[in-house]
Amino acid sequence: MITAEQVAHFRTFGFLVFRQLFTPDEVDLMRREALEIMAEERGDAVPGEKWEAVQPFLERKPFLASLVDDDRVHQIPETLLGPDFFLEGTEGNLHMGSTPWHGAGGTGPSPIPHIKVTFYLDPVSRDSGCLRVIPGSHVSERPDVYASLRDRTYDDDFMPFGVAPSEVPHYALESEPGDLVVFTEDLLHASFGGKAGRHQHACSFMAGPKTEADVEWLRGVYKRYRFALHPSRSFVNSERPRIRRMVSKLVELGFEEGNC
Amino acid sequence: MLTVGQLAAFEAFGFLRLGAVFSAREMGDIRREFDDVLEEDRDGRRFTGDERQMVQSFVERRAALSRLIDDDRIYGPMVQVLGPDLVWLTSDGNLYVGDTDWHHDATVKGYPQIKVALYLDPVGRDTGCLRVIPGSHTPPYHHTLEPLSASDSPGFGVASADVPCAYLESEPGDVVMFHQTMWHASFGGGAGRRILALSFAPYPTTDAHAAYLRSLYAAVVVKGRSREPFLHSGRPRLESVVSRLRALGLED
Repeated sequence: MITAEQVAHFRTFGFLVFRQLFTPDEVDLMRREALEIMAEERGDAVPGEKWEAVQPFLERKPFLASLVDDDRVHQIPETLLGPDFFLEGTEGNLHMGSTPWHGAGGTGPSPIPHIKVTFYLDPVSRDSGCLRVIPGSHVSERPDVYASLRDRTYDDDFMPFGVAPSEVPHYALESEPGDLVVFTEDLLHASFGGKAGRHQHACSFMAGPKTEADVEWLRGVYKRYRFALHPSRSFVNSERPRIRRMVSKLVELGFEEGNC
Repeated sequence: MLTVGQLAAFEAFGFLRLGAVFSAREMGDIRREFDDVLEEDRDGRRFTGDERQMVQSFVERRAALSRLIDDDRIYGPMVQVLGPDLVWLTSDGNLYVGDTDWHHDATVKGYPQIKVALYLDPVGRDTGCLRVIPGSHTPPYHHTLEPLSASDSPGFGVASADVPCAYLESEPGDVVMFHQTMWHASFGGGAGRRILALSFAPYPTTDAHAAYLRSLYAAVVVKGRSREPFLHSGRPRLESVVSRLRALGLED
């Protein structure tokens, strides 16, 4: 049960961390299924040579697919986004290296509230790849004093505020396998120092659109991205009512199914 | 002097840590004077560590310490942030004990006050360093954090020590400067950790700011002969600082 204070924490700081929601056995199963997916997608390529990212992801294996409907996960978007939330998509990653600062870049903050529920299956700390955030930076203000950090910058000479990106003031969301990290992607976030091949898997949710403008915005996102907002066939036809419901908005809007 | 990047960081985040500004020898001198003033305040009695000892109008009492006010390494950045006619407010020397919960020293009135702090002992994230919430010095974010003032719990479902923040770990010689409207705290520090703080403000440009400055000055400045090294330093820059205070009617 997510408390009103936790909701206030999320609204104010842009994130929440839930400690030890999953048992070691469940984490092992997640890791096993994740590695199976990665191996299937990788084919003959050598693992560990580059960042491996797969979308959609969780749908491909039974335990991972059940997570979006697991009460421990389901309550999060239900509480933070409302009962008419829908599934934007899922992703799996074996990360390499650092991820530069970004959040609400490009066209600015999303008009529709959204969250990413993230599973880190390795221990991650401040200097070993945990998510770093600037608390409160998800709220749009004018002028935006953080503008230089909003879009990913891979330039080696980039010195925001005159310092290396890893020196930008932040709060580190250190976590252990079994924890869940939840944040809005409008929040400025990054990671530094992580080892190659570290697991980061996620499901992203959005609040139900309230206006025609919201719907048009969603159509724009759908056109721009190959996987986001494409409901997986297995979820559209799921035996589980809550899974069918969380992709039904995408079906209603006529968004094409993904091949999974 | 602060770089363009540092000025942008100070505006965005509300704070700045400048590493190794003062040498070990200088810190030794500062520490000796600091300890002396506090011992004098205790009439020579030993510090028991039962509660915080704070002495206001601190650096003003000693010629050597009052030099910090117009030291280029402090005065220069203050001029960059507050303008050439900045106002000296006050200073305090502290032996801190225990935790300091989330608070802000000043309210947001459009009249900035900057604190420059020297930590005379090493402090880390769990040993009493300053914790700050980046960007919390300006509204509206500053105001959304008001639940932090609650006496029983911060109101965000976490203990005070777990409120998300940045940690300004510091070694002797570092200088930490921050907007006094910033939400800040410290946890885990040992008894008797030494912190010297100086406060500056801009020259008031409105009647409201001038009135606010007068009430603030009356509240934080301990007047009397103990401030002679500051009031009559013989140092041109410091004397111009004092002249401005006289022009504002804050000093005789």
